[in-house]
Amino acid sequence: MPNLPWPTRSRGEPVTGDPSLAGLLAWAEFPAGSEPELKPVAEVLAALTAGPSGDELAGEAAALAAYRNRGSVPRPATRARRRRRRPLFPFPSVRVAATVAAAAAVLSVSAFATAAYTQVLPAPVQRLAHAIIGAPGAGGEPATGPSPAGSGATGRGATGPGGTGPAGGTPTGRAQPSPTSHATGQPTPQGSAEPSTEPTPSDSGTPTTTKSKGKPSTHPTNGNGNGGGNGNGNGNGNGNKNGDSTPTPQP
Amino acid sequence: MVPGPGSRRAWHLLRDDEWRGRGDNVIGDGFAEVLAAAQEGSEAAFSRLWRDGNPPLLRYARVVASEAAEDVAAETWLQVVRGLADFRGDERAWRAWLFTTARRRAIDHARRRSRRPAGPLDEVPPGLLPSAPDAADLAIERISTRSAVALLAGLPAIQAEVIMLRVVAGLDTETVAQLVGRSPGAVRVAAHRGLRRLAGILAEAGVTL
Repeated sequence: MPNLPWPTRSRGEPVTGDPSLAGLLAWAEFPAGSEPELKPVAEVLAALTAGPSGDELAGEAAALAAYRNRGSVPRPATRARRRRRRPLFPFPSVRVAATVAAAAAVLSVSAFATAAYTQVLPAPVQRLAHAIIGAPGAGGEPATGPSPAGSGATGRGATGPGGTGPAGGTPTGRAQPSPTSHATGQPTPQGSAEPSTEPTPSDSGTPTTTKSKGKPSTHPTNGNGNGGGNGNGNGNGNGNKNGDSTPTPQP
Repeated sequence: MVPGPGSRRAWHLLRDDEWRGRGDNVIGDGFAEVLAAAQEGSEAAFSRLWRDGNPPLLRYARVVASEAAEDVAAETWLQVVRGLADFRGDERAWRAWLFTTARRRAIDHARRRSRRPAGPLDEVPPGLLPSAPDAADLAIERISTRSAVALLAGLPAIQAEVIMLRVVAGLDTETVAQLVGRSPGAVRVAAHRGLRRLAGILAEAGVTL
């Protein structure tokens, strides 16, 4: 007795063209001229569709009882429609607060870096910024960055987390310090800005947007995302174009 | 043997291009009124739907679910009662819904059975044990419905199911194909192979009409 889960995938079987069998299934009468051996089959099919027997109507009372009680039976379809999907954060204010807090943190870091590079911070803070993110020192010290020895080539800017982008922040040559650094801090779209250890006059450190494709660098000299003009320039995608990369500790 | 009037009415069911119903087993033109009345709370109308639908439903369940046929049928009607108010469609759609629900209940039963250890056969009430009809049963002038169901149950699963859905449920090939998850061509092939096999079984049993 077949009692197995039914297959649900079509096997692409060809359509048969046996007219006698098609007639058995489709015709209102036993097809004339059909094979004699199909007559018993026709009789079996007729028996399958004969009128109801006693035992086939025995469950009517139970069915009617269920019908009478249908009002008290929960309707799954309605319940499903009413069911709402629970949001991960059920309270909009929590989501909003989280977003605002994140934005505030980013802005504050950016503001700090900006202030540090424009040397508007108080001296102690400026010195701290000089130590941490390589901003110009309180005494006018230049911003620190990759050393002229070429470590800048492998410097943070070049090979830092942001220096390995496809924009060319490779250590092999892009990151060579140069007195004529393009330290506007604006990397080329390929992020091939050459690093510089010296700030240029144009290097106001003003954040600029970068379109570097490199990985965002966390090293501040990488221009905090704006190619920072420190000439460390790798500008390789340190930053995202919002210039809001976070500073990284110097190695 | 010439099929009797009941059989003649039965053949109306077998038309593929136009479903006409099966005489006294089909509500026919009055279906819409009966359905509306049942949806509004008429027990008589619901009883009419039930008497029309339960015999073929039970026969189908006996082929696909054997000893769980009554449970499958009862659960099917429970589901139908719950969804009755929301049903929209003609009698053909009604039957499609009825047998789709029954098929799902049968599948659920099969899955539950596969998870539970099988009990010894002597614990199963004799009336529920599957039994193929013998030659004597098949030689009577009119094969009984129960014997016919048992014959179908002896066919491969998909062939038996397709024939039951086409013949007993009165569903067309397209609807059956959707229900069983196969192409219409595959459904036709399965039905034809099932009928051929049935012819072979009957020939071996020496049934001649």
